[in-house]
Amino acid sequence: MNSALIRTRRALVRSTALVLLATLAVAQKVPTVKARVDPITVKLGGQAALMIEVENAQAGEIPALPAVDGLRYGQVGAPGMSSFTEIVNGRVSSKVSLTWRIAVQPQRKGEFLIPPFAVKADGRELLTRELRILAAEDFRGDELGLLEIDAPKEVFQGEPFTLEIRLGFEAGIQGRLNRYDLSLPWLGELGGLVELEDMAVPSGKSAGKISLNSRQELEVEGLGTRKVPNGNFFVLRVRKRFVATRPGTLTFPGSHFEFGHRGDGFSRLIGGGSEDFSYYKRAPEFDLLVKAIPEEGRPLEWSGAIGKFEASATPDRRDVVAGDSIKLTVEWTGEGNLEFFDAPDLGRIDAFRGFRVYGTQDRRTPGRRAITYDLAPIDDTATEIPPVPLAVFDTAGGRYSTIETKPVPIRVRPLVGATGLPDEKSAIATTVDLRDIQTSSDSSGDTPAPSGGTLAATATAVVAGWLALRAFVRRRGDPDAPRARARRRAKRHLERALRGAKTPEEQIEAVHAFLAARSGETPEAWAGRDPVAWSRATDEPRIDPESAQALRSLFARLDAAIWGGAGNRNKIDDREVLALADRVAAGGL
Amino acid sequence: MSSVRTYLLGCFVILSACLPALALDRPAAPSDGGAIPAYRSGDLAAARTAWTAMLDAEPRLEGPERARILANLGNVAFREGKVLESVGWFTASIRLRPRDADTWANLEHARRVAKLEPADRGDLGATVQRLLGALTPSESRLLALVGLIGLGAGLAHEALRGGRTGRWLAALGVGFALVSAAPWIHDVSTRSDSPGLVVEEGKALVRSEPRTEAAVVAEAAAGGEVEMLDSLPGWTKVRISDGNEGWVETGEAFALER
Repeated sequence: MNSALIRTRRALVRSTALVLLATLAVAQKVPTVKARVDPITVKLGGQAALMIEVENAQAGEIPALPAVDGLRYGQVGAPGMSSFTEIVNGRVSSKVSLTWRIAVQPQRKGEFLIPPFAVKADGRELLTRELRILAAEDFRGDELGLLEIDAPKEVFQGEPFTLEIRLGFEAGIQGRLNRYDLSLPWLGELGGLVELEDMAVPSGKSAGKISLNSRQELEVEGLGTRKVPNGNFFVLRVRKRFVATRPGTLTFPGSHFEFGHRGDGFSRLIGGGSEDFSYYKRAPEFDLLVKAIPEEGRPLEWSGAIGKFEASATPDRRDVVAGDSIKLTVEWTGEGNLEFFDAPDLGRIDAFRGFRVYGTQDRRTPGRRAITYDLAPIDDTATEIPPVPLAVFDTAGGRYSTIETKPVPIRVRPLVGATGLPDEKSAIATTVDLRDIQTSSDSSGDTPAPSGGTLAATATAVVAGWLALRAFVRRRGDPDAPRARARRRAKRHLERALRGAKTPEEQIEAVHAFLAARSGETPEAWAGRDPVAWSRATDEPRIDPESAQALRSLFARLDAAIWGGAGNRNKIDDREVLALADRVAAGGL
Repeated sequence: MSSVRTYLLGCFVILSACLPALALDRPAAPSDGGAIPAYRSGDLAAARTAWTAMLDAEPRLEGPERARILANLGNVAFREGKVLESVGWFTASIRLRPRDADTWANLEHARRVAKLEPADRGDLGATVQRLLGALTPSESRLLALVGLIGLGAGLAHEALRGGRTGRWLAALGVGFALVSAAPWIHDVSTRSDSPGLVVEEGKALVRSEPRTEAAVVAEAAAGGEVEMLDSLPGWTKVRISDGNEGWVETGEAFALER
């Protein structure tokens, strides 16, 4: 595997651990379930315990356990409830957990897989992972194997710690082995224990990969052959980092290391190869005391740092002009949760008032935390970069303390023609204020308008006027009757007809139609009628005598044009006809 | 008589009904006297006295000029630290000149400083209210008159010509008149005879009788509008938004009719 790939994988693992812790810190109220079998290997006739733990739930039940051929469960009782205070990444929270312990007894030898089953918690349905239990008549090979787990006796809440697992087998049988399986039933299934990034196997020391809990592979470090009381053993090592999040005693169930030989399918088919066999080496359960972080003496600026740290600060340059950038790298090393504490914000530290802090770059690795601050001295009065403090809970002394970097002397030269960067606090801050008084007299006065009473009277008058006018108009008939409409449109129709008329016959027809519409008669009634005689014959003349005479003359000229022969068939000017029509209409027709 | 003449006559008859409504009355604008120099020099008491005297000397002064003086008195009150009183002055000014951006800005600023809700909350209801109240009372009456003229034209057409077109035009005239009258109707329906504003810090205690020992029957929140019903020396009878009536101390309610 090349180094780039290894770096990528480590980065991924690191990111996963950070996301896991962040998720724990943020989504603390979501119920979660963990399940394990303790121990994972039992002798035939013996019992194991199925441990189920639900966090962040007040009530829960297990509706049914999955039936597994050859496996018998004990009674599922009521869960035990416990509450505790948890610290994840320096943040304190209270939690409640429910725990079931159910006896499990294999009825025959072999491997049993308990499929995922549902656990109801506060109305939610959670699924466990698949669990494995191994039953054998006898666990041979105890004297041929090695399994030791080194763990601290006690740690503080939130303090990372390392478990060193050494496993091995008698050097003489190494050539016969092709199968290695390390069973750590508590891995990922122990409440209050969060696994951090694996410690990397030193370069060139990898002994290959073995199976972990029968479901994943684990790279192991080869420590070579060692002489132990039972003989010479080939020893492998795995180191894992954890953080305990809740106070109390953590009990790690027993683990075992299975090693042996299993032929492939082809070898079995032809009956060749050596016989399959398995040896088991078991490690007993052990306890870890997790001590609570004390409230007393906790400084307000405590960053969540837990452990024993040392700090150092290194600038990239020490001779600068005011306003120039200085990259100050602060590095914390030691044992503790270096990856997870909140870094000091120099912009909030009084000692750094003479500096502008532009940004940071954070690099986290196990055992080392480095933050590069981008600083700029405001003026040439700064003579040193002040110490960078970090409030830490010191696990060695069991109390809070502050570790600081050493001050770094610097030389700041003044800017040519300037006194330095403007002080942020002296910059003019804008704010919102009243707009000024209005000084110009507005002589326009108010908009002239009627009073409300006048408006009401006007509305009444409008309605009354409408009713009166309507009644007056309708005394002479309905203005929307066909005759009335035809009378109003007569002039418009005449204009249109005259525009389209090409002969005197068409002109006289248009004039007849106009007069008929105005008089309420048919156009035929006006054919051959003498307008003068017609107007005299009525009691109330509807055409004045002059107009009647002019109309008679028009008819005569049109008749002459119609009947006068080919030489006299000229149209009369439309404007003359229309002027006469206006006179007639204005006269009251 | 021709139909055109009849039509014109009809329009004239109906529209002439609107003419009496255009009665004009415009008082002359007084000068600010020494108010502006006093304000500029920081003599807020003198500025207040001068501008108040202008209001008292010209009780018939209306419209923009009166609104300007009320707004300036709001500035004076704000600079004196009487933020709630300045809210009252700015509110009174906006009632007379509702589209003045400076006064709106000052009102909202004063309300923000007084930790009151904005006068214009910006939601749909407030926007409609602001739209309907965007005209001065005079302008809303003038707009209503324009609506009546449109109504008259539509009705005149219907009376003279009848028919479906006439009826449509009449309906259109009615609609136009209603829309035009909406600001005036809104003004008439929402304007109380004697509006007031609670300017007591936090809230004003509304008592059953005009004495400090009387029972408290309600509380009126600062910035809330009330109707001022009566007054006695040192006491003002108010009706608050939930309909309760009672007495508050005179300084706790600010008359918006100024």
